[in-house]
Amino acid sequence: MDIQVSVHENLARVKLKGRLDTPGVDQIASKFTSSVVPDGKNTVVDLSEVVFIASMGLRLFISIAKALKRQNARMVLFAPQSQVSEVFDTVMLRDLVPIVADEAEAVRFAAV
Amino acid sequence: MPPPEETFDDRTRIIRRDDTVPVSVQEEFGHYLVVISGAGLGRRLRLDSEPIVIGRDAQSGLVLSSPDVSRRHCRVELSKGEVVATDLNSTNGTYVDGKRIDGPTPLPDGSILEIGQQVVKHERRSAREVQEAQELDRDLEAARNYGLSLLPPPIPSGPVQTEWFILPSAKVGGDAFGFGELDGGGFMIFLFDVSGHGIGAALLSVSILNVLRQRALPATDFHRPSQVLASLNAMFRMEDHNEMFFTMWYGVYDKAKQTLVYASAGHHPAYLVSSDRKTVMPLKTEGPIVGVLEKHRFDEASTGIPKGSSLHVFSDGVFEIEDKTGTQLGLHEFLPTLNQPGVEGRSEPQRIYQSVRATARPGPLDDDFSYLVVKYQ
Repeated sequence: MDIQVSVHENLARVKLKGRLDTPGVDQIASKFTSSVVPDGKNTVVDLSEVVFIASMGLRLFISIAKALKRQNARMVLFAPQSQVSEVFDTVMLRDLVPIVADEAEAVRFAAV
Repeated sequence: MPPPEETFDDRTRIIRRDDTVPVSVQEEFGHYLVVISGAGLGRRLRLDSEPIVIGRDAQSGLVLSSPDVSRRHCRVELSKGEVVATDLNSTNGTYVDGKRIDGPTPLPDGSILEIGQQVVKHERRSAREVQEAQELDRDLEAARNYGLSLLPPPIPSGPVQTEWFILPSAKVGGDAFGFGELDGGGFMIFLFDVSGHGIGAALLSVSILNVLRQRALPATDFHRPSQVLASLNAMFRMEDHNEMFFTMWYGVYDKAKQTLVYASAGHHPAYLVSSDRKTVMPLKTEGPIVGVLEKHRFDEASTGIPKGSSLHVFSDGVFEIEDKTGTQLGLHEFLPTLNQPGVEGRSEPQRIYQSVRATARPGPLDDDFSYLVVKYQ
């Protein structure tokens, strides 16, 4: 599981690549959380290269989204693959975390 | 009087190591068969130069006292440094990593040997690792046995029959299920899946299971799935439970009316399979994961239950698997399994498990496998 984080002013861009299962989450959770949560940054997450998400991946997103919300910041996910998108639909993640089609829309959402 | 201040020599002290003491000792590794599911759970047997016969016979090297195990079921032995399994013309066959074997078959480190409902894992371990593992195993086995003891026994006869199969991906897991009569009529059926695996998920799983077994939700009618999910959602907030949550499917069957009312919380559908297995109907309502959204309302729905049909409720570990080519499979790829005919001598959940194992890549499954079938006669 790979993670790239870039921060510009109050917006963090996170790109994930690989499988968000338990081993994958173990590899990236610390970097992901420490990059965006302490400063309460609005965050957009590129999921276009995430091929699988398990419950631990959902837990990571939900925990970070809630932590950011407590600081009046927002996380937006974008471009999930169809199999990942189906999981989001099943668990109704959209009720908690906005999920949009592309980065431009995600940045607009994050700034609202 | 204050204690005298400690004084330290500023120079680095030279420590001479006794080079006659070996820094590390070459550890001896051995091959072990570990029963990870079914009769004989937790048994660990070292494989030496003598073959081990596995069977129901009391003279077997590994005795598995279960009716689906033949007296002399299979043999496991070391051959040219490799562990090999051979079926001994057993009634129900021997499976290695989900595939029925018909001759001497390699059993690599980590692979799974299935004998009826019994699951045996081959592990290559050092003596020290085995000792440490045995200590941990004893604790985990106690935890696992407690979790399993909370699951209801299958119901083999009567108008509502049940069969199930559960295999945690770790020693203990976060999946659980239950069923049983409710006061005032109605037959309750549920299955839930706590996020993650292992002991943390298992602890939460046991808490939820006990609440449901004792019907210990305040001001909740257990005949109403929407109320049960809403009450669980209020009781098990993820902020109060180490950031863990769970998905769930819950239904109540009315025998007199032959209807099922159901609701789901972040869980994929359960499926109603017709008696001829040609029709598979998804049963799902919209609802978020339990513990995530505060004060959320859950919907419920109902359906008629034709006699002879069966309800399949299962966890996502059943279908979220990688096949032998490394391709990620999902629910769509799994569903045709429900149309396939039953197998003589195997329960429906066992048949499904064998089918999934045959598709999945070798080695243990990534997630807990939990499968409950309710048959309406």
